[in-house]
Amino acid sequence: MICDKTIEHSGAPFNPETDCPVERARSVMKEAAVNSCGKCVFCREGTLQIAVILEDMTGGKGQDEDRLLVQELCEVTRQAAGCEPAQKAARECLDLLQEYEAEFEQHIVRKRCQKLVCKSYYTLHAMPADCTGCGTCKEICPQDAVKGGSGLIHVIDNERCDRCLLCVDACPSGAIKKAGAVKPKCPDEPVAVGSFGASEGGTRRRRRS
Amino acid sequence: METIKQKEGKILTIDGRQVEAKEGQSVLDAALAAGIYIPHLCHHPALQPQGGCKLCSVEIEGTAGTVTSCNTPAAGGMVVKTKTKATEHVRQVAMELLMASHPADCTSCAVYLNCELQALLQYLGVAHSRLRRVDKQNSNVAAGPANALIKREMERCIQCGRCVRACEEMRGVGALAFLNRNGESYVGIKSNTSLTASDCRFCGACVEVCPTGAIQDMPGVFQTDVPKDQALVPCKNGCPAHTDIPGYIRLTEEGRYGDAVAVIREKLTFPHVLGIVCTHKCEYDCKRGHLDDSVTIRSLKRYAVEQDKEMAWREKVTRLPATGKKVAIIGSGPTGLTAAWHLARKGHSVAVYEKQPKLGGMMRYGIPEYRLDRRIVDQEIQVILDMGVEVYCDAEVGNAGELLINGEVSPPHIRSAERYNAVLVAVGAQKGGRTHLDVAGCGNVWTAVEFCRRAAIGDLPENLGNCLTVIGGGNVAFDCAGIAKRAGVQKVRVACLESREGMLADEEEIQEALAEGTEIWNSMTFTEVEKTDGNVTGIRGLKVKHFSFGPKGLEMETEEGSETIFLTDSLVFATGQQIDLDDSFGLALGRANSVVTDDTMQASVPGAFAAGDAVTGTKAIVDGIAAGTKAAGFIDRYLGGDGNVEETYYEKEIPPANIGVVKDFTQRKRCGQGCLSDVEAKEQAVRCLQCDLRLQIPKVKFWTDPCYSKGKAESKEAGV
Repeated sequence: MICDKTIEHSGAPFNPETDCPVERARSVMKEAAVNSCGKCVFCREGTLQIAVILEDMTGGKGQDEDRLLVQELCEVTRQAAGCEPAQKAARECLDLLQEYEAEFEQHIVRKRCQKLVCKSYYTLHAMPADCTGCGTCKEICPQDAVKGGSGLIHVIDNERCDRCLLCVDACPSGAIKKAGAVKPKCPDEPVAVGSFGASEGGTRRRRRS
Repeated sequence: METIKQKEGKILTIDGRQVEAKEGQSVLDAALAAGIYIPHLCHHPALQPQGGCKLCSVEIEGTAGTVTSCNTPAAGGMVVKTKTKATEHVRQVAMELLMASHPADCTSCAVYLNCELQALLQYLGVAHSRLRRVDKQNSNVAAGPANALIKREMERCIQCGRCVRACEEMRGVGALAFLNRNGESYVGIKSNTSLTASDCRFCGACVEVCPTGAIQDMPGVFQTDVPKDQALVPCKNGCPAHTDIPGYIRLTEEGRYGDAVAVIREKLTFPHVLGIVCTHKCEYDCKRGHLDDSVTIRSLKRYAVEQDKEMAWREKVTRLPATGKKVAIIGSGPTGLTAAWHLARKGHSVAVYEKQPKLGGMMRYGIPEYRLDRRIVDQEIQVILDMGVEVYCDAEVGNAGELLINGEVSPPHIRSAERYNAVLVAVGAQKGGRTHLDVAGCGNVWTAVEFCRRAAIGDLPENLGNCLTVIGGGNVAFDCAGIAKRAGVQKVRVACLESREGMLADEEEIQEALAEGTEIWNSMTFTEVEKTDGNVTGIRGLKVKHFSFGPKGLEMETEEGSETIFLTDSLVFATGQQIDLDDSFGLALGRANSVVTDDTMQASVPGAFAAGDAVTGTKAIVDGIAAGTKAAGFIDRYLGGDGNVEETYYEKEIPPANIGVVKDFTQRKRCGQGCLSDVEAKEQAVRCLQCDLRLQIPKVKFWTDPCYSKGKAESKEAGV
């Protein structure tokens, strides 16, 4: 071993119910890269390269051959890296690749994140039925991506939104929801609370990117 | 095989070949020594292995996966495979990863075609990468602020860590380190300072071991038209005699003055004289001069010589048995006496002819006494005479050829009516140059040569007047000015064509003269002299705008209306020296009456050699010594010897590579020339960058090295 570092992944253990395996793999690799002492090529460049590719996958820029490429890089890193943390990260990544192959493929080919974790793959919406027009979300949004006023159903501009999720936690009525490919019916512009029926306005869109 | 193993120690099998490993060798070492090439990048023969680049990965029977051969000790019975699918794959991926952040355009790099990384890239055949391009953010921080000696283009760094290990393990300095900033590791300067602010001692080891163009020598620091190893020690390279300057500075610093003088004596016959008046080209070339100010090499030489009371080196001088061959040397300046020393050592009987009453040439009759104590000249000449050299003073030789055994008539004024097997013409440049000014017959006008000679023998006129003008801007002009000042002349002027910046004299001498109250007039030309009663009373001068030496000689433009008459009581022309020879001397003469010589320093008459100022025109003492040494070699060979006049007075010990940290190393200032105190000498010697240590670092052999193709052929022969 070139270095005797032993770093445990700092986050909570992987929860298959709520966590995205691709994002998990990315954060594991990124952490390994950031903590690399820099002496060994696989720990320094390998983990970083894998993290970069996984970041592309989670960001809509994954390419067809990327899953196999990541797998190849992980295998070499697991085998030849000079320290325990890098080998461990590669092992964890390989396990995720094997177990969640379909989800990786989904990220690359269909640009979807099943768990709605990868920020490029979901949008945020204030549900018209739940929004009370209190304005808490509008106040807290650092991107100024929420339109609305007192007593109006608020509308989130997903072009501006950077998925910080502050509004989700802040909303007293839990009205802000994530949406993947299937978008909820929402007004395009703020309208008075109670005036937006489930049957009118809004569009059901398939989001393609 | 079992018997071989028992007899010869560790035998391992690498790619089917039996290879013997020495104690402590790694698998990689053993393979490379046997001519089996395994690619490697972070491994360096002079450094501890790191195992980081993974290019040296091999498979070993009984061990899972690949292992790095550089840090795997070779063991008897090991079966190693260097070229398997798995090893090729690891190398391929490692190389692709290294290249992902390395600049892609090789051709713009200073080490293009001389780069280990590039060679490995070719060896591994890695071309277009499948990987994402990664831009490293820390290159600028890693490089640190620029300095004058080491250029750091850290975007080219592949973090092999060789420089870090070289700086720490090899040198004990530890100025470099693996660092991390914003989650990105990089090789930088500790504490992210500049090299100058770090503990760096500018030894150049990091440059030497860097396999890419990340750490380079600043262009212009080293001469490029001489062999690299020679250029890397600029002081030694610059010294005409190639004295081992870092060697004797180190010994001086250690207080081993006897050894230091022995080192100097191997190359120089007049070390004490040179320690005082050498033109010290070494100091102009000194690498530290780029950084702040050069090391005071000349003063350190003087210090060492003055400290060495024993002169133990003299016991090591050998004198070969008499050869029966006789050599005449005409002229007893540094060139002639140096040649006499070497030829006498080589067993020839040497006779020196000197036209002046005493030996020493310009050391006695040129350099002012206030600068060079004649007792020092006498002492150093005596060392040479002790070798057993015949001396004839007041003996002018009119015709060099006539001294030779094959010459025609023995000249009657030569007291020794002998003839010689070889003659060395080392007469120097004895005639002062005059200008176009008409000063014929004027009593108060001298050339610098005459002026200095008369000063040296105490023959200057009692009264030089109140004002003396020296025309010329070189060191000799300032010698004349200094003599005049000391002779009691109140007003001394040095007037020259050059501007203050363009003056040829050493800055130190100019400063010294200014301190003595000498006036300097720059950019002046003189058209006429005013005379009264056969004496010059004034000179008519013009201000020069600019001048150059074109095909028609000197061309200049003067300032209109700047004509002035300067009154002066005496006038000295320090406008160069000429060779005082003509055809009657019996040798073919070339430009400016210089003796024409061939590649072996032989003149037009067989057996007659020439060296020094008589061949090259005016040069320094140290040039004369170098020329005299060289000529002695050629003459020895001509007389049937081996032509090798080198001698070892100091058995060179390998200097310690671990130089450690010196507090405030780059802040230590140069102190002035002259006689150093013990503390000053130590302080100055420590400033040396020890450029020679870099030569100890072994070179990395590229995969194209013949030793590996030989190994390949052997493998083929062995049928594997």
